[in-house]
Amino acid sequence: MSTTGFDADLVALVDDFFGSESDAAAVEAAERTGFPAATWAGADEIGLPRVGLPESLGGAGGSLLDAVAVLVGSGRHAVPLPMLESWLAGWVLSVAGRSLDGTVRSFTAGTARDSLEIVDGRAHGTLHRLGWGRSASQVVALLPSGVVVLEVDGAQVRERTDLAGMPCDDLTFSGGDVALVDVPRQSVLARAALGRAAQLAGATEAAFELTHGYVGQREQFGRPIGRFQAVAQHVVLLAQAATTSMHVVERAALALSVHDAAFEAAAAKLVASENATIAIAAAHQAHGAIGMTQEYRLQQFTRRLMAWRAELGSGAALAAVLGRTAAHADSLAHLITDPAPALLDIDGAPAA
Amino acid sequence: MRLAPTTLTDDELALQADVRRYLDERLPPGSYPLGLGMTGERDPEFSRDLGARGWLGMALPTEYGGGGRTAVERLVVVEELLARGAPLGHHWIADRQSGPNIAANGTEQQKKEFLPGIARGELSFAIGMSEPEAGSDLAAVRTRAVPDGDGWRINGRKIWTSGAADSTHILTLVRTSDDRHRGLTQFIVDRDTPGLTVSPIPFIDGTRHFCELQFDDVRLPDDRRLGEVGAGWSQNTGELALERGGVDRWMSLMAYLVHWAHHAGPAAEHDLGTITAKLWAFRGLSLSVARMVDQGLSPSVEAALVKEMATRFEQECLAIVVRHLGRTPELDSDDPYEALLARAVLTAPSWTIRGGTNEILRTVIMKGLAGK
Ligand SMILES: Cc1cc2nc3c(=O)[nH]c(=O)nc-3n(C[C@H](O)[C@H](O)[C@H](O)COP(=O)(O)OP(=O)(O)OC[C@H]3O[C@@H](n4cnc5c(N)ncnc54)[C@H](O)[C@@H]3O)c2cc1C
Repeated sequence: MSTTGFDADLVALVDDFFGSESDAAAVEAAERTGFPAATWAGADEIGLPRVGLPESLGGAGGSLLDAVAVLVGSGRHAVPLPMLESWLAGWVLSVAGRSLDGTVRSFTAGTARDSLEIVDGRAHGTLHRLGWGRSASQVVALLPSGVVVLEVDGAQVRERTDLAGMPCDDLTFSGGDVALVDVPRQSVLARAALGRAAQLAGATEAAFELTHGYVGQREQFGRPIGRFQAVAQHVVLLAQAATTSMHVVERAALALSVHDAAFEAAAAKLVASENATIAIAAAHQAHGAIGMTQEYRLQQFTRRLMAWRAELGSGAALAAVLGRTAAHADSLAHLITDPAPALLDIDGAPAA
Repeated sequence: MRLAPTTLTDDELALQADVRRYLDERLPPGSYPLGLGMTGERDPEFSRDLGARGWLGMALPTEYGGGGRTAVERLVVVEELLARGAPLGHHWIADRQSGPNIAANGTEQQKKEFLPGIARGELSFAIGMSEPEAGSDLAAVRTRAVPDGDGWRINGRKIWTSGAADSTHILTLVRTSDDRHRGLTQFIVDRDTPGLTVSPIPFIDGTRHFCELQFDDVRLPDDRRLGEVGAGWSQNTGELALERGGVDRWMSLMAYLVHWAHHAGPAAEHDLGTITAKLWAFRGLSLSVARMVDQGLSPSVEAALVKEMATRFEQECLAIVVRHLGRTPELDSDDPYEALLARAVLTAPSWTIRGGTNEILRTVIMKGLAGK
């Protein structure tokens, strides 16, 4: 039996650091200026973007569970830094035996619009929606042909933002350096899905806490609105969403620490995404108009939930592969109780 | 509120394999009437067979015939039964809550008298809590026990007592003084005690498990009192934690879903995938609650949080599978799975009522959140 979970000291450290460095004002400022270089430097100094990556290659050490705990924290505090991208890119590089440093890296699992081709060992074409692409020195991309590392130097950047107002740029390469690395797509996709789910769980918990506090203070009809059952119901939905998302993320992280847990990662992401949708509606409804303003913090969490829920494992793609897996399993009841359930194909490619 | 993930130990996995092997043989498909989770058919012989294998009263102390095992081990057994729609009706309530309640609050004599029979699958309990005027507001119970010589005399009426007509005993909550909460006491009543009339109330699907109890000067010796006079409310609350946190709260439709997964076809792939992910999540949450129970915690708010969400999920699943069927399932269908689905359609509204309504659970959760 293992009932171990996230390391409490690490969680406290992450909450401390992000709590002070990524408060409402800092997140708002990052939205205006793009990339908070000083905050990044501070996070890098204590190793946060490299947690869970081997020390021998310049990582900060620690386990996969630790890396996921950092990502949960980045969601809880709406951190305006490429935490997920750095971890994913760093993990790919470390598996390929490359050393890491504190530079910014971006990551993409690929979009249908991408036109990147590799001709004579050089990259040509465009990759879309690269988180913090403008500040990155390297990009790790999952192409249909394999996993590649691209040097950003010389690429043309079209600056764009995601729903949360964070940099999410299109990069056009015309002959840049590119290297194919021998890392299984499946393993990267599982980590990408789990990492995004971890951030969703963190932001969902933050939306719950903010809302729970708000309904205890805001008064209408002479009493706190949380005393009305109809309002309390929103809080209950948020608590359920936060508890469940956190549970599935921690569980999938434990599983991925001991086996190739593509099933658990996919299921966790699907559940966390569905819970994000529930949480967005409940949190806003309980807040009324104030929650719809930029000056109140709720939007820093809900816009991230909106941006992240369909990324790195959309509900449709994950449901399709999980559904195929269930249809082919000897028993659905055995599948959901299996200590190491096998997923047919997280990639969404049709099963052979 | 956090529910920490946990995995099964090798011993627990071995138990799971044992149970599967046994049930594959004991309950081959088609050999038994399919049930909707915890409302599975009554089959005393099947219950005795499970008892003989040590799979009833698992968490009861060994000196009273129990297994001396854990809540997690019970979960491992129970989820296999529920997934098959097994005929567990005879022993279900006694195994889930009456046994543990008697083990926790009974006298030495009561433990000796009841627990071995529960662990053997011989005794069958019903829960006599609700009354016509005391539903969600259970503390409004009026059925009254007054001292009578060495024992008690009970008058009043209980209602919605599932399975009372076929059970051997009823564990009931009655008023012994006017103090709203501290004036309540639990009693164990033999089903055939003189003065007790049990009348079935036809249920929405035509079955007759729902009952009404009339107590007319029912005389009970004092050794049928469970726990202290006035301790009934807190014992009852402890029982509710056992009643609410389990896998049974999201497995009513499981036998159908297991079948559907193989027959749904490509058009249902997305819905099957979403249901699969959520089943996997709920399994983890229930396992986590059971582990907390084994650690000596009383996760009653956690159990309420899971039950409220799980019962809504069961109802959503039903809506989805019926939509995919594309027509009204037929109650008298030759296909036992379609007939099961038809019964699910009729009875599903009760899933968010029985064991405490979702509205009441939300109040429990909200109060619990204030303390976290
Ligand atoms: C299938 C089934 C099996 C059952 N088996 C048993 C059994 O074996 N033994 C037993 O003792 N009981 C049993 N019950 C009874 C069950 O516990 C009660 O139905 C339940 O507690 C609700 O009580 P009620 O039916 O009187 O509804 P009411 O309490 O009258 O509630 C009606 C509606 O009002 C809502 N409501 C009531 N009070 C509040 C409030 N304060 N805030 C918000 N909403 C409120 C309820 O949520 C519900 O929606 C069973 C019920 C069902 C459906």
